[in-house]
Amino acid sequence: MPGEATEPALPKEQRQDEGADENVELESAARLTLGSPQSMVAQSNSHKVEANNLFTSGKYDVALSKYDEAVAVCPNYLDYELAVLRSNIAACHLKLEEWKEAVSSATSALDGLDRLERQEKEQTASKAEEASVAKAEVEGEIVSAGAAKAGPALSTNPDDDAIEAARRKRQDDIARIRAKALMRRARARSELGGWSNLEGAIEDYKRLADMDNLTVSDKKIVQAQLRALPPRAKAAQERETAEMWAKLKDLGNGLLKPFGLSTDNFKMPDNFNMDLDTPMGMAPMVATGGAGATILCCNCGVPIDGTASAGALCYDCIKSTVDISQGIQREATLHFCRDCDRWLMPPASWVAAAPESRELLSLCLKRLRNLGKVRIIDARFVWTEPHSRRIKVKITIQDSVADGVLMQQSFEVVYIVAYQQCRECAKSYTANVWRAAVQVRQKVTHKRTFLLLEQLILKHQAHRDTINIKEEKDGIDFFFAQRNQAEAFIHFLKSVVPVNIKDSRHLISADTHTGNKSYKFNYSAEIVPICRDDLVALPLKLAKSIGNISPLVLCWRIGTSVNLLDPSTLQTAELSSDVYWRAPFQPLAGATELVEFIVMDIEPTGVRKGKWVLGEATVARASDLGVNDNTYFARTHLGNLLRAGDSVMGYMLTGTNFNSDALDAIENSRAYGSTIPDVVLVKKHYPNRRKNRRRNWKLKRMAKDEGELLPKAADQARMETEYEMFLRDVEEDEELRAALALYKNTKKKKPQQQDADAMSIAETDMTAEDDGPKISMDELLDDFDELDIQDDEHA
Amino acid sequence: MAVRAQFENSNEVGVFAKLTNSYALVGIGASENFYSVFEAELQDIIPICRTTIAGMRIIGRLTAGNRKGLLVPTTTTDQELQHLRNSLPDEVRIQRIEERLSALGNVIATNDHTALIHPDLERETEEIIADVLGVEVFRQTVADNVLVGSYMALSNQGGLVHPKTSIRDQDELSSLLQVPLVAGSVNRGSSVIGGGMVVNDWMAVTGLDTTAPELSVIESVFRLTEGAAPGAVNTSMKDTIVESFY
Repeated sequence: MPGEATEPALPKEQRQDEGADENVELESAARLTLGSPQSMVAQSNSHKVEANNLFTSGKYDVALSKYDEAVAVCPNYLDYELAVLRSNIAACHLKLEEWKEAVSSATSALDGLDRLERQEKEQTASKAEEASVAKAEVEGEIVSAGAAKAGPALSTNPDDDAIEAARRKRQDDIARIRAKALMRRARARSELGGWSNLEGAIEDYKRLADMDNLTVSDKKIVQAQLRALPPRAKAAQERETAEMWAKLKDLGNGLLKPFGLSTDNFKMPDNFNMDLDTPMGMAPMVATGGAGATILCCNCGVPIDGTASAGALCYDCIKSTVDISQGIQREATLHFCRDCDRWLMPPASWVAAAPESRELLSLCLKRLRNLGKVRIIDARFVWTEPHSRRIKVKITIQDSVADGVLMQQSFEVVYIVAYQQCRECAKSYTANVWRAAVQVRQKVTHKRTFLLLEQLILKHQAHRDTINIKEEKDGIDFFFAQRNQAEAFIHFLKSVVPVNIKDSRHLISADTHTGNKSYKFNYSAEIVPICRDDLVALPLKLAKSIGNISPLVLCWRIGTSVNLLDPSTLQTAELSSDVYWRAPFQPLAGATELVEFIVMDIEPTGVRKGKWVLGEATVARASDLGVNDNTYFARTHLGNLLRAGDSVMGYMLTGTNFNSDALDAIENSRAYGSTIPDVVLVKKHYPNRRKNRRRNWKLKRMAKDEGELLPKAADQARMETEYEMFLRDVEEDEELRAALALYKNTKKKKPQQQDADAMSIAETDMTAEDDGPKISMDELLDDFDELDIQDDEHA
Repeated sequence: MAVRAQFENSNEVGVFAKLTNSYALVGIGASENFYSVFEAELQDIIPICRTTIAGMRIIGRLTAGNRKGLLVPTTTTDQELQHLRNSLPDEVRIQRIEERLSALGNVIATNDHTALIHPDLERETEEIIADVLGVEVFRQTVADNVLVGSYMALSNQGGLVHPKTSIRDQDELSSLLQVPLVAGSVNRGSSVIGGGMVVNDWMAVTGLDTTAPELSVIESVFRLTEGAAPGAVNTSMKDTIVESFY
């Protein structure tokens, strides 16, 4: 036994039994009397010998208990010995006709043999090469162990042949014991009856039939059994299946309830049904019988696991009888204000929430009563058509039902979206609810300042608190709910335009007991009637006081004050609102009186101030070209912009009757009487500019209530022209543009034009003469309202 | 056979009645209906006794008994005891027990051969039970409940235990009692089996709420369908089985 010899874990004693014969259970005992170093094995052997004797004398039950004792003291790593003992025990049981016990003993014996064989194989494989090294040891052991035993080759021959022979002998032994155990198990099984046992018996006999170490009589038995057993097995199978179904039907108690159990709870197949032909229905009985006790659902009679169930109800019955969402509404109403897109958060607040947003979901959940009593596991929107005015929310809740069993349930709640005007919106639609009004006025014939003011208001969101904006003659009214909002608006106005404020109040009611009074406040904000590019003839005294400027000046900008420029000297001055309103005056000429000139010749003088360069130009009226040869000399601040041949807008002073006292005073004065120029040039003109060209930018407009002052068709045209002029101003003046918010015009049709736009330069530019200046895309803002998927052409 | 009944709108039949193979006790109710159910089934077979125990009607929970004897708590009045002695057959031994746990029906579950009792019952009580009822006594729990009488119903044919009793516990109890046990419920899912029904070897009375599946389980485990009749009570063989087993 080379394998065992080199294996230190296996003691020598194991080999004592080698070759022992258990055909008659006596024989092996005789050979087991060899001196054993371990008393346990010796004791086991002595028990075995006794038992064998008892067996032969027919005292099977006493023999059985002796064998049991032998097994009890035998070390459990000795698989072979244990297998022999168990096989013998099986024989005893057979004699006693205790079939079940016989089967289990024989099975454990076979298991032991299988284990042993496996070990043996591993060892022979690994130890083959080491065999020679360990030879000496092996020999010694084999001699001592094998001497008294059967194999003469073993005792005399310490060669490889002997080892090989020993190994073969051992294999023979194992095979013989296995055959015996199989015979015994097969017999016990066939006697035991029942479908599974009979099938097992057939299997055992088949294995036996394949073995070649059987005696003749054994072979006959095997053949006979293999013929007789299959029909018995078949009959048993049919009988048992029928019984099982009868039992199952009993349990189901003939109730009509279908066996629709949940796979979660009982590990049942989903398609489990009452079809008697499919045997797979037996699965649940086995599954539920395993761990806990099987009880029948008190409602439908389905077998369930009693230790895991809630009360005595099955999963389906709990589902159908218990409703944890009881008391939670399935329908609710949400109130939505269409004007401000806000939702009512009861009792009185209004919150903004986008569709399918987190905020809306929380609002929806808050609308449900009794939802706080359960645990919300999940809540989500189910998509609904917006026009249906229904919002569906799917909610999953959890709650404990009887005996600490948690139940989870999902349901849908439908919310009806009802329209309701919020307080603020209702107020804005009600007449005379304002507390304070700001009346902004500018007494001029055009709207240019208001167009600028509108853009400034939009950029700074100054109109946010207004409840109404209304167009009036010469201006706009802004209405506010609170006085302080109006005050804030006034502050804003003061910071952007030269304005004169007057306020008044109108007593609405007064409580004589408490002294409480309520007023309506009116603020009149009058803007200085001087606009950009206006020609102003200052009163001489005023001109002297604001820096001794020449009294005939241009207004080049409207800021918090009026900015004035003397184009012939580039001297500038500021006329503040306060100073103006001490002695108000009207401008000499406005943008409507501008006429077009052509530059014949221009020469810069080299005097610079800021962006201006003083130039001396010779101009001719555009309308005079081809008619006469009148040319005019003018000093201009546009020395760096104009070239010979350019078109320029200016005021014609010679030959114009202004009918102004201030101008008369200038003419009559000694200092300035001779300095009045023929022409005052104001700004460069682009005569070839297309009228309705598409711009790559746009401005937002403010929603105003025109009231009863709906413009007539003629006014409409005039207003459009004014707006176009304003847009051109924006294009031409970088400073002005910087104060406004310009947006990308996404509705542009022609993509190829865009490249040209992108390359164009922001400021007024000689290269873009034809079509006037353009605005670089970098200066423009993305309009959120217009952002959509098609917008990528600007990206 | 199993019948459904109600005691004054209560389904807890086992609380208000006690049924054995040789006698039945019924609580005194305002209505005759409950008594009539027993009378209809048991008249001329075994004596039916209407009584109170210590002035209370919950006699099923206060007493424990089988074919051979009846145990009543110490609070039972002499008058009641005398009434019982007069009503029940002479073979039935009636014994008053001095025991702290006086609801004997809740702490003792017994058939004619074996009894399971509350683990905390006194040793003297245990001896009296074994002596008077002529049974083997085991201290046990049912599904971890010490009130064995409340959570199981027991006859010589079988037993019904608390629905949460595991298979292992059932096997253990079954091997002690030598009768098949089944976990189940009465009165539409109630786990208080002992309180919800009474049973002997040929009939059972359950609460009116008991569902058909529950009733079918009861009938099958107590073998009330297969020719169960008063005469078919097997009293002799069981004794030998039990004795040989231990």
